[in-house]
Amino acid sequence: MQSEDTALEQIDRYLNGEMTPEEMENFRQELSRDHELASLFREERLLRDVIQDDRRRALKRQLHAGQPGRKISWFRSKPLMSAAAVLLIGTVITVVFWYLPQTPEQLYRTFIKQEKPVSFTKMSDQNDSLKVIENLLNSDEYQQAIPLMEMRIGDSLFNSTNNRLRFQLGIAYLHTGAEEQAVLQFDVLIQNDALEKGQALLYKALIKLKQKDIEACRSLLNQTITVSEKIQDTETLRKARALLKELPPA
Amino acid sequence: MKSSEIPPGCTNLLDALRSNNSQCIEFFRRKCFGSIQAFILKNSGNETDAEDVYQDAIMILYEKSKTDFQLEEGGQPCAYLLKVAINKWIRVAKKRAQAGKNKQKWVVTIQRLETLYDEALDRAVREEELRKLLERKFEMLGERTKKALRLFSEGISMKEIAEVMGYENGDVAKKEVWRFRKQLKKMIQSDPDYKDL
Repeated sequence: MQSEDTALEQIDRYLNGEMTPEEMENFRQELSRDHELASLFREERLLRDVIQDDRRRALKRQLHAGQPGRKISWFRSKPLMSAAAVLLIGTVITVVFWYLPQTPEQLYRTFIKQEKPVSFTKMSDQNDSLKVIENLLNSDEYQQAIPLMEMRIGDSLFNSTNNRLRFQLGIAYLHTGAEEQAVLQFDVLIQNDALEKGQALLYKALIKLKQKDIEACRSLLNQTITVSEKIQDTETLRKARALLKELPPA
Repeated sequence: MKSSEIPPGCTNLLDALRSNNSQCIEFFRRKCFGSIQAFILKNSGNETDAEDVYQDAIMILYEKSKTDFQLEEGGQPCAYLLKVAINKWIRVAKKRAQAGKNKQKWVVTIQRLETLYDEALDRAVREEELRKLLERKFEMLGERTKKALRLFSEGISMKEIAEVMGYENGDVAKKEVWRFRKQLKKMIQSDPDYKDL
């Protein structure tokens, strides 16, 4: 095969429809002769397909959602959480370490109160609907925020803003007592290996804590620790460890 | 609606996948999952394996649904999904045998399933594994990197990418996009699963 860069240039031209019919025919012949080029072509074509295919992502989400009691596999890694989230959780940790409550209910209430301020947008961002959602969440108007978040998430692309929205939607459901709905949102994040996976697990642990299912909570906290270690989410890791230490004995 | 009732307009799983008819996809899951689950459980797998294999089989059929692929005359989607599932399971069994844990059990499973191996379906299974690997690695990239690559994969010109992403000009955009592609490629190729595909 020619150099990889040259081959990629050629593949791009082919996939972008920039070749003349003659060039296309030559390229196809080359593909049938050159196994290495064919393999590179296959990967590039699949990659473009995967990146663009929102329907595929939606279908996967539906299939995941239809799996009762699915176990989670822990073999993927993710980069660090955003600095804002780290700072926010750092503050939470400090407060929680200092004033750790004794009962499961108190512990739950302390953690659930700390996720402020919520921020999806930058100062320069003109995205009105996100601003509205932010303001509603920051003023505890969860009932009003929920339909807006649901609408915004919809079936659209599984991206980082949607993940953060979904995470906040889960928390909003918790505040309105809809625990099952909250778990569904957290499960989507977990199953899609979102950046918020560790936090989602932590919140599932908190739900178990609220339900006084201490063993399930402990197990989820252990999973949170495993995941957070892998993705180097140090704040969630510290938070999970702190909670684990404070859990009442079995 | 009762679980056995056919949702309106739901006669063909391929069409349901083409039109993203979630009710219909769920109907076929109720119809087809049981036989795949029974097969996996009988062949050294567990419930989670069955779920994973079913999902892969559906995704393979989904990819087929983008083409003019049709099931054979009188072919039932459940039978096709089961065939895909069997070939996926043969791959899983081989990997688990290689991993060494309970090797004998997996070797026996592979021997039992050997006659059901289908080369074309194996290719489809491998392609789906590659898709999953690409998806996984792509999702690991930073948001700006993903955005630039999305624009690129949609065939947007470098000049426009530069405008959207705030790069100085098209040449800078091209450099950045190529850097991102190389970064992604490196991540893909360094994955231990890659060499099996």
